[in-house]
Amino acid sequence: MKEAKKAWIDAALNSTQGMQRAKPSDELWLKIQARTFSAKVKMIPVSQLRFIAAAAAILLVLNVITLGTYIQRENAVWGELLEETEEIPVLISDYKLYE
Amino acid sequence: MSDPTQLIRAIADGDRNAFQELYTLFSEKVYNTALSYTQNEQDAEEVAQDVFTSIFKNAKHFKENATVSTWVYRITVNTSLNLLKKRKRRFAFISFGDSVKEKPDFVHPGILMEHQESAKALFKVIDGLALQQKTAFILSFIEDLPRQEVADIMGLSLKAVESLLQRSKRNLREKLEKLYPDRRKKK
Repeated sequence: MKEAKKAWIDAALNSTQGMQRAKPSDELWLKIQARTFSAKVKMIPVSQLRFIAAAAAILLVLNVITLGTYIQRENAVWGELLEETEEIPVLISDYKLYE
Repeated sequence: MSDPTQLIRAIADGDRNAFQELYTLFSEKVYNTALSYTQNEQDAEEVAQDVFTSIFKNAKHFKENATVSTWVYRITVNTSLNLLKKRKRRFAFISFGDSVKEKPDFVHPGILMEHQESAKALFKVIDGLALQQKTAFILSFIEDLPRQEVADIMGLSLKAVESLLQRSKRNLREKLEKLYPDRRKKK
């Protein structure tokens, strides 16, 4: 039993003796040529495009919010100014002081 | 022109014929080394593609203090190890959710018919070796390279390679011992 086990292990360890080299497929060279010599076109992956679109959308939303807040604030300031103007007594406009 | 160093110089100048000549010289060595690591013919071809693309790109950086063979083997070993790491990460990710399928037994196409059953067990246990031991074993006993070239490829001393080989053989023996009853049950 022990000897059979040892013989099996030795056979496994020596099983690469007399081994031949495996040949790659004929297409391998064609694939390498295609990868090495083909014109390089820079491709943007879809995931990157999605990221760019999301970033642009966030920027747009932030701009809209900022613009909305700015317009609201401007309107409030002008509203206060107009109210203050209404409280100022009307100026004498005909200049006939000694009638 | 068939001197590999001259071929590399010509490739650095963009010579496609020299590249094809180098491919003819080294394609089987690259493919077989990759096959021993990946134990899968498709993955080995993927590694070979990466290796030759890398050779074409980096020919101008080749330092002539090393032989072309050493340089090509080094690129092949590194590319194969990178693929194994990538595959391990992918496998860990998949196995997190799904049930794990057992890897099918690998039969190297170059193994003699009468050794194929024993070789299946050998490749199974090689797959479980630590990376440096695996590299030393594959280059020395499967690629049949001289120990000094193995040392040059791995960037180690001859003594360190000898020590790695001793440890790899001891570990392979232990792993094969554990596999032995399994084989008997299957019979």
